[in-house]
Amino acid sequence: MNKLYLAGLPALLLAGMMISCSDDDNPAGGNEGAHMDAVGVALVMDGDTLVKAEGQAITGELELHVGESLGPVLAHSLDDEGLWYRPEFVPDGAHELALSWNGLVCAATINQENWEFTLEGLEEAETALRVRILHEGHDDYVSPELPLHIYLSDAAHGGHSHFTSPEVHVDVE
Amino acid sequence: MWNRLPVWSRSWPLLLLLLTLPSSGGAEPHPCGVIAGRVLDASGTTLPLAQLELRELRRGMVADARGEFRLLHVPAGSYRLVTSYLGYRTDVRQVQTLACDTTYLQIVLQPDALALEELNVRAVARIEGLHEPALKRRSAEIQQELGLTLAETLQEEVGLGSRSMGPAPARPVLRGLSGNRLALFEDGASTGDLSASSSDHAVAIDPIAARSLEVLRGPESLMLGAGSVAGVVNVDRGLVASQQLDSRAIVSSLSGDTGKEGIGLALRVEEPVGRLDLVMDASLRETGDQRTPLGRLGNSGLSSLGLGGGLAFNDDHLRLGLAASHFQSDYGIPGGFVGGHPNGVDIGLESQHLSLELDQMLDLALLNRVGLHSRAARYYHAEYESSGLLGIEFGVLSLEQSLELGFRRHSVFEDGRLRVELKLRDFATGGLSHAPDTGELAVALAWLEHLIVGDWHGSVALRAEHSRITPDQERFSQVVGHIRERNFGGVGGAVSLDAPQVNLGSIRLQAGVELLQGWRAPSGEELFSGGPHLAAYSYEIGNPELDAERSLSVELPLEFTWQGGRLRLSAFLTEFDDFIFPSFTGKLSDRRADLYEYRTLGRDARFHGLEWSQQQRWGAWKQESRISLVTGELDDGSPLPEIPPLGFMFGLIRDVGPMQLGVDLVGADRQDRVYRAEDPLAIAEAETAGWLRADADLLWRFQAFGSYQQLHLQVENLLDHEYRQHLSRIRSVMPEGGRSVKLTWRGWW
Repeated sequence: MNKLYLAGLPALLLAGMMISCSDDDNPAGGNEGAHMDAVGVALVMDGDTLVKAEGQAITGELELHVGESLGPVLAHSLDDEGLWYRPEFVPDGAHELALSWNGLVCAATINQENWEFTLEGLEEAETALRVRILHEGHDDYVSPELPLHIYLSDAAHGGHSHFTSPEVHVDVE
Repeated sequence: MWNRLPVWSRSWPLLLLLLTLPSSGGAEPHPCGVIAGRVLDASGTTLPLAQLELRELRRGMVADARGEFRLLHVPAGSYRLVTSYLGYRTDVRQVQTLACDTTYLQIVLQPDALALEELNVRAVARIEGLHEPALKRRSAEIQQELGLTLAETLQEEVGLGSRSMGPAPARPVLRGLSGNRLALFEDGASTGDLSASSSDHAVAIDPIAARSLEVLRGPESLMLGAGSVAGVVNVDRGLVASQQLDSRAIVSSLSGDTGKEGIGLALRVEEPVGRLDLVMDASLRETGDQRTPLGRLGNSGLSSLGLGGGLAFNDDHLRLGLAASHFQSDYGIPGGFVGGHPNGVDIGLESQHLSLELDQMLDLALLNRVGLHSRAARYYHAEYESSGLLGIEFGVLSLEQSLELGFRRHSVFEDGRLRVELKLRDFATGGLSHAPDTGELAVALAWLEHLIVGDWHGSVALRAEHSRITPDQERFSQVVGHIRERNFGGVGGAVSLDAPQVNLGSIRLQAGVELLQGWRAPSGEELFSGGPHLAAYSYEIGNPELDAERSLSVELPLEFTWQGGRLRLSAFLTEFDDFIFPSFTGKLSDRRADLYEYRTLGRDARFHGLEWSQQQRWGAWKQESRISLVTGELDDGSPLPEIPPLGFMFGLIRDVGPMQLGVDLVGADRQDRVYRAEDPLAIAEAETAGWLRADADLLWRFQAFGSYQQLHLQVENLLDHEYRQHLSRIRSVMPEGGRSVKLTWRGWW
């Protein structure tokens, strides 16, 4: 048998197989802008910023009373170029807004279309809230712990309100 | 990346090969010489599975269960026949064959205190005048130390340790160096997996399927990569038969482990099919949660399957083969430890390879061999939350092609080689990863030569490489930096020299020196990572401004041998410029405030240490000891992370007929030289207490049903002692395995 043919045919076969490979054959899904870039969050109600986190730097706090609601609170995100934005609602639900806290001290109703939520105080507590942006069920963004104070009702404290507006403002589109 | 290269660049080795392949090499048309015989010990007992090799022809074989061997199609000439067997001194003899004659040999091997548990480069070089791997384990020896992973199988060799995040994803560490600095190869090519990049990524090799494994260091390792400054671990699976098979051979093994509630199976079949040689193997592993003295380590089980097959054509001058393999593994990463996911993570991994091997013997004035090797690999793994939700996934497509020329012996030079390589790699991620997809292209030219001048032996190697890493998109990220194409180029070199033996009365002394200049380009992950890593529960940030890592190593080995004993001492030092490592910052990520950041840094560093390896035989008793000490520090003298402490082993073995009984004491000193990030608020690496454990084993070799059998019973951690390895990432939640009984059976037919 001619050794050149013997050696050459399998090599050509393998080389042809290599040539036919393409990037699309990579079994991992690839990352083409599927993630929401966020390095900060601001919670705004009626045009006032209640609390803001830029990286780990937090200004302001959330306050509400037992039995009362706070909201609707709009969530604004800070991208890694330093610009604030409001995420657009996408019907397929690839991104969603989520909240987490410890215990059963409050309840939240989230409106995904408007990227906003309402909190209801259930029991007195000094705790913290995390704002999360989920992408297909996993966390794209998790905020630092944002201070959350839940007080007894105004009536229980003689009508004296503990709610204050922090003196911060975020420019949003 | 793949499609951006012109077609010719992926086929260039074939073009070169076709130019060099002669239609007739001036060689004997149909060599018909035969070298046959038996391998025995001094008492006349045959030695089954002895290894034999005709050096000049690079042809090897294994004696059968009766110690008999037969090498066919040997051209007329004079050759060195090298015969080796566990526990015996290697035999080297000159063999002459004439035309179609059969040369029959009876090779008697002498027992040797320099047991083949530790073959060292210099000892064998004295005997044979040729360079040998720093460590070589053959099938029977592998079974004696067989672990769940390659790291566990090797971890008690001198200088070797294991970095792990649970029993399944363990990776070897040599002299404190890990990752891409200790490359893992299978059949001479990269595994294509991601085990070098993170502690939770398993190695896509099951040692139960290994036919032999070796650790290459110095000039030999440079032929395979200038960045592997610690060395190359090459696992020989042998799917492409290295010589013509003359009969069917079957190797089977079965192992069980009470500590991991595990079972392992492996089967290998070699069958001649006409003029072709067929090799097939399969392996299967199932383990549950590991038992420790403090209870079960949850989510630490593993389930794996390996399949492989190869078809080869072998004759006197040509070896041509195709091989394919598939490996898959599902394993758990425990949760709740510092730097780990609170609830644990499940990982599914799969890997496929397709390779072509062609080796042609030549009869040219300067060249005696040309080889072409191509290997395509596909790798994928996905990490899942405990809820079943996909967290992150990785995919790698790689292609490695090499053309190697072998030089004839000339003057003081022998076994020289020239190698040209092309490597392509396409890396992509999915799920919650923010790392960009990258393409990598690397080309290399390497040259190795061995020299013998009188009683002096040496080796010299040079390797030039260029590497280009291209992200799918150039952009500026506030978290990572300027993500863009990077080019790296460098030259590595190595020299080793062994002085002649000196007689000091009844003691012989030999000294040597080895210098290695290494060079390693950063990987795409080290440059551009910028996102959470699920199993490591960390936020990993690359550094696009990294420079290539450069190193200069020097090693001074000293060996004393006397009647029945040997002592080897080795001192080593490696200086790094821009040593690349992930630095734990102690800061929470701005994007994921529930994860701590690890930033990739490049800083000057130094590794230095000492190794002691000693053996002594008194009749049926053998005693051995090993000590390894390494220090790794940054340029300011502060410790690097994950450096193993002083480790030691003391063992006693007694031969009782066909059985061998052994007891080992294994331990490590306290590790309190730990890494602390520059930020004073950052969390420091945890210290680890010293520990000691006792192991015992019984090895029984016998012949039954016309086959050679080996049964190995081991009891690890005999006293169920609680201890923690410093390189285990889960040591904060669980100690190492408690008392466990392992039984391994292997049969050769």
